[in-house]
Amino acid sequence: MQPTSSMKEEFLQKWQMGLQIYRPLIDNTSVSERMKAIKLSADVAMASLRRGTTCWSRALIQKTATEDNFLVRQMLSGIKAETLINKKLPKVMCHRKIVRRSKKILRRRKSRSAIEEVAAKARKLVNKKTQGLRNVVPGGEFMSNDVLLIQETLDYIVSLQTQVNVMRSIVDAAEAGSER
Amino acid sequence: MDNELFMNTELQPPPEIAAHFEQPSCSSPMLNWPLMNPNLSQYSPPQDCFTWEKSTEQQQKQGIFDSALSSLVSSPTPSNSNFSGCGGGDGFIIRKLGNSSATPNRTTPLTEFSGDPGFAERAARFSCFGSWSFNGRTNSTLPVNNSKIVNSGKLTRVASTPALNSLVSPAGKFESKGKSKENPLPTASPAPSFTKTAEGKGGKWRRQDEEKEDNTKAPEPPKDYIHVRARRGQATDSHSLAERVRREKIGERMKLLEDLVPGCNKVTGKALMLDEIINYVQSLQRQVEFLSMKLSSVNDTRLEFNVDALVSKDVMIPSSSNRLHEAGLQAESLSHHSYNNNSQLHTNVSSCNMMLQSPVNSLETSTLASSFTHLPTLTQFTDSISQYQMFSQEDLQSIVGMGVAHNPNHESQNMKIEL
Repeated sequence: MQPTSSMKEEFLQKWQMGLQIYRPLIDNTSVSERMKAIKLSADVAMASLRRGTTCWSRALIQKTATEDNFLVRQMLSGIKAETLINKKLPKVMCHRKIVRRSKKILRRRKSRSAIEEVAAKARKLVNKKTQGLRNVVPGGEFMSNDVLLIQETLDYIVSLQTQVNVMRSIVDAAEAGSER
Repeated sequence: MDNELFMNTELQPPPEIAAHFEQPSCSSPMLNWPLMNPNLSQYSPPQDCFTWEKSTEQQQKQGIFDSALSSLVSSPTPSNSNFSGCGGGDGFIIRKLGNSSATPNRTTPLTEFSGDPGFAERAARFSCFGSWSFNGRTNSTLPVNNSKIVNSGKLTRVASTPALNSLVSPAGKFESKGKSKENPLPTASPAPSFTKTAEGKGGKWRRQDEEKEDNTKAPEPPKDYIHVRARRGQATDSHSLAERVRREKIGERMKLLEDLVPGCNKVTGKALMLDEIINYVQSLQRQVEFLSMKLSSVNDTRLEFNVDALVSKDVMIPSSSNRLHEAGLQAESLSHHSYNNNSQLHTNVSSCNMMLQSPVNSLETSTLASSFTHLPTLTQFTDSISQYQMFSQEDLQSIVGMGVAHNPNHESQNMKIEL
């Protein structure tokens, strides 16, 4: 599934809305502040495209809400803003650590054959990578299900591509404008 | 007939499950399901959602259920922007089912059915209601929640494959998967749960499933498979089945990811694929940061005009490169479009109109295209520029489409962006 133009349009509109919220504040701010504003509004726009149906979008909105609550409220006004912002994501981290520890204890008992060891190493590698993916995808730590994780990654990648495409075309336009 | 018994009981628990489903959480719905099991024994009166399910024939019922499932599935898809956000994602899904049930027309959910990568998964999740209800009714001590989920996961394939068969085209990638491979597994799935509960009934079910499966799908050694399971399939079997189902799901999705992530075709194996995916996601995130930094630095003095100006610039650029630098033509066509268009941006635009003066100046002085030198005077520009933005609906598409065409013009920049 590639980013569609309707998605891009919607993203652009929402992003514009977010930037307009920043408009009165921007006059005297530094580059980093502006960058943060742009990025945050772009992130919220991207996440709001999914309207809370995906885990990563909710996690992303919550993350930006911790940085700029006002922006999120304004941008999401009318679309269950309160529930998204105030809801706390479930903490699954501790459970997994306990599980991991108990698995280690269990593993000591197992007898190992060569084949099993190889398979076990492969599995460990995959698990490490999966953990890496969880770190990258917003809200990944809360997806204990691998299938869900990959599904969310799919969706997240598509949204990121949309975001990058739109931003890139705008940057190009801006550069073209300012160059000449 | 066992079928009807199965059907009648299937109705009540799902609303319970639906109620539980509405718990907003990021964790997989599968984790919520064990919570629902204790409640299965209590049957609330069937809600509106499931009243329509009272049809006689199980097959038909399955079909309707699946069509509802497909509508369910289609509802959370990103491509389907029909729904205003109402409630959390999961509760949202259930409400949609309620809406669709109001029209027990099989076609309407089908029309909404879109090729959703998550369709099989979600269909799986939702159609597992059936197996649970049956288990609850017979009051079996639910052996292991995992195995149940597994079974339900497999039952889904039973459910989903008729749906896929009936729906055919939109299912896309999942059709082939559904028909050939899944058929032996799904029909096996009801068996373990049934055998665990009531062997006599389980035996009957098995035979019916066998017959059904023989009639509908590709026959494989599922017969032997089911026989094994009928003999009180050991826990390891159900676990391995569960694992196999899970692995297949993951494999499916990895294939989709392969299409998305460039350069994954040569890579084989989960670990390497995951590596590529992680790298790609990280690079995309870095690109976003880089672009936002660039954007913030490019329009140093004019960030507040940023959006509007850029949109207007975008409007200019495709026009300049698309049409052949014929100023008169362009100006007229542009103004034409702008007058025809009506958009909600108007209110914003009017307020921003004043601010657009300076970017308009820059536009005029910019050498975007030779055409602009021929463009009408500044006043005309400022008047129509507000309306240029209302342009945006159609032209945004061309803008973002033009983003690709633009890149060759700014090769070096893009090289940097793409690392």
